[in-house]
Amino acid sequence: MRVVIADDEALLRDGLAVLLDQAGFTVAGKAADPAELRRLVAIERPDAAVVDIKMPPSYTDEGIVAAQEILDAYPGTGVLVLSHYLESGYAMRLLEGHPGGAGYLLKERVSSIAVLADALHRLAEGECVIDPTIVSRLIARRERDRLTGLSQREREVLTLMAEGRSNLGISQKLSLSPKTVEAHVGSILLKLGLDGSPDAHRRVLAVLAFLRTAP
Amino acid sequence: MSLTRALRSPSRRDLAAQSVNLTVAAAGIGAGLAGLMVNGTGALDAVAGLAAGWLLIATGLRQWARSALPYDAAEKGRRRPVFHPGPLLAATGLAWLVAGWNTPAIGFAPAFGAGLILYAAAPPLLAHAALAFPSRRLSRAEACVLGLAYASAIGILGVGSALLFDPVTLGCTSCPANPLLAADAPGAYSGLNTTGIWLAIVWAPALIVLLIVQLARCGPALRAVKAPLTVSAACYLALVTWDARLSLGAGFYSPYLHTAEAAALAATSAAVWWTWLAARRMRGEMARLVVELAAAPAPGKLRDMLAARLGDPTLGLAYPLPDGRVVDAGGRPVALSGQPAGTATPLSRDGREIALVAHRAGLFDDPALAGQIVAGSSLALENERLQAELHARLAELRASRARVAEAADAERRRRERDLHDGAQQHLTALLFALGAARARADSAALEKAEAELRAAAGELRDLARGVFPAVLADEGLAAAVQSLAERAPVRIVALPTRRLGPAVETAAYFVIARAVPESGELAVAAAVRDRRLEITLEGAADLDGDGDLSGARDRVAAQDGDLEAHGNGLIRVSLPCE
Repeated sequence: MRVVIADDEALLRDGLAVLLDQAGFTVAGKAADPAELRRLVAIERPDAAVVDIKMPPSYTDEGIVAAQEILDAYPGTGVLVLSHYLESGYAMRLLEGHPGGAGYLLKERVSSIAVLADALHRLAEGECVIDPTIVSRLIARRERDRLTGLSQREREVLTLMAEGRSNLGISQKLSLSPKTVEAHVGSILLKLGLDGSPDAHRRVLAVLAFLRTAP
Repeated sequence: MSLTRALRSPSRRDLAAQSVNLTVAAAGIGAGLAGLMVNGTGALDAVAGLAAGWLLIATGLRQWARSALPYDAAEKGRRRPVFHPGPLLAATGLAWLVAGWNTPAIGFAPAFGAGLILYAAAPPLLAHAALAFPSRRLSRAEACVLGLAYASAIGILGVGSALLFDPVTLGCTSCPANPLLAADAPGAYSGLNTTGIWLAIVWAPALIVLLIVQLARCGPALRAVKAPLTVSAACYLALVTWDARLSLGAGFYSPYLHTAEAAALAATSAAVWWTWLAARRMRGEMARLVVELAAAPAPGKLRDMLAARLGDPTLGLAYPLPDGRVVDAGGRPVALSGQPAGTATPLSRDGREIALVAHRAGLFDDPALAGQIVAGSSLALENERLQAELHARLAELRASRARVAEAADAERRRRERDLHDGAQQHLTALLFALGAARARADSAALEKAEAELRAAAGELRDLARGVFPAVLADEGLAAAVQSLAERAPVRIVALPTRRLGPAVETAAYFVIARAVPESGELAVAAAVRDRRLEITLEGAADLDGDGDLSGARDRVAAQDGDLEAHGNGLIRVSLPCE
């Protein structure tokens, strides 16, 4: 699987390249700013791009803007945005345009090769990836109210749904049969009053929006 | 009401001027009566001429006394002097009466001589008075034509002719001897006289044109006051032109011409009284203003009162501050530089400018008006000026506080970026290296180190966020409070979704973040109403006892906002926003 990297910090670019290499990915190119990244993606046509959220010139949300451009132009390319910010707002913005193939992870999390590999593979398959820390924080916030109506198992399933996992992914993660997961999902959506959207990506957005909304 | 009395009671100066008036008017009547007794013309013409003359003298002197106000001090030292129309009017009347002595019946040589010299002096004097009214500097063209008129009327027709006019040679046997006769040259006299009259036929209509042009150019307020004066003076000059044509033997003779000229002069006097009436009406308005001001108007209301009393709804009132700025009653800076000429008038007291009036053109053409306003409302003006100064200083203080708060925020952002770009990046790079090392040779020790490092990165992230949440600058108040609610016991009731400007967003955010209680839950309801961000916090922690500048009250005050703590954890914040 071919991956390109974009980060304005050479130290992190190189560290990330080593990690990806260790995890068995081919690093097809490294970019220091959004323009270079766009050129690289156009030439290399990678399976995924790992993009820092803050890049020149303004160091605010260039990574998210670049990610959305890449997702628009190259539907086959997944984009993993790495960030130091534990803010669900950025993640929501990234997903709102293209829930499929977009991911938002805290930078420190990807030092775990397993997490990095899992995220990139899921993006390549068109899933979306939301950092578990963000999700667990949102879930914890809603524990106080309507989530009390969910069973422990349902809460676990809800967490994995919010992280962007498909029913199959959830069944593997929880060692349950896909049928059981499907039943849990249906029950959760019913209890939370959400539409059982046929589109898995839209389902992630709906769940996240629900978790973010004030009780 | 001592101020009202001050407006009405005549000063000692007025009394002196009035006694002069009476004396001169009496002299005028005497001179006229002398002319009447010796003149053989009709009684109506004689009485009309007499009345016109002394009315003009009395009117001129009164006008002189009225307008002898200190405003002239500022006019001195310029290129062309400003003539008082008052003495000019009086001189016109006198010249008109003395011209009547230019008759064989006078029988007294010096009087006859004076009559010869001044027999054509009245028209340029009257035109001069009308052009200069009420206190105006003549234009170059006006000065030139008037110069020609004076030279021709007094120089050629007056002195020049008198020097050469021998009544005996010209067939006037009953005339007294000409005391000024220098040389008996009938041919030269006739030529000089004809030249003078021809010149009069040129300058008299030219002066009419200048009078009309000048009236058309002055502001509407002055025009209304001055029009009768200009029209009557123009009529007189038209009659003089006709008279001059007759003297050349062209056109028909009217026995009523002299009477008509007298009537035009009397009308001129009446026109000057009309301007006094207009001024008195304005003084009446000023007196009413004084009564209104006795009720101590609310700050900013003085402008409305002046606008109503002066009949100019566009009127503006501004106050010069000691530092040179000009502000309105609320202390907001006003730009008077774009004001067209003649539409801004300073109000001074004791030589100090206490206010500036911006008004429609011509409103302050009566130079006494500014003085009357100051006399009537100086206390209220002073009061409002001090208030304006106070407001301006408060605004300055607020601006400086806002600058300090903004500098503090910028410093916080910088520190957040330093943490992010420095320590956080290095920790992350270290984590990446550890992760790579662990992939090659996994060990419990490496795993423990990585976990520790990840925890450190998390703590550093929270620390940086506490210094300044990047999401606040990037995504705005709603996203930042939303994110706060994900990590702290905050319940969001409502938040405005649009951006409100960094200063307001930062102030609002830090007030909310500071109000998060140790126990319980903070409910946040915020919305924009009437260009103000209104925030209601319930279950808030105590905000007071927070001495440093980042204190919530200081932050809100720096943005010109209000913070009310109602106790029981209820806090209301109102911040002006775009």
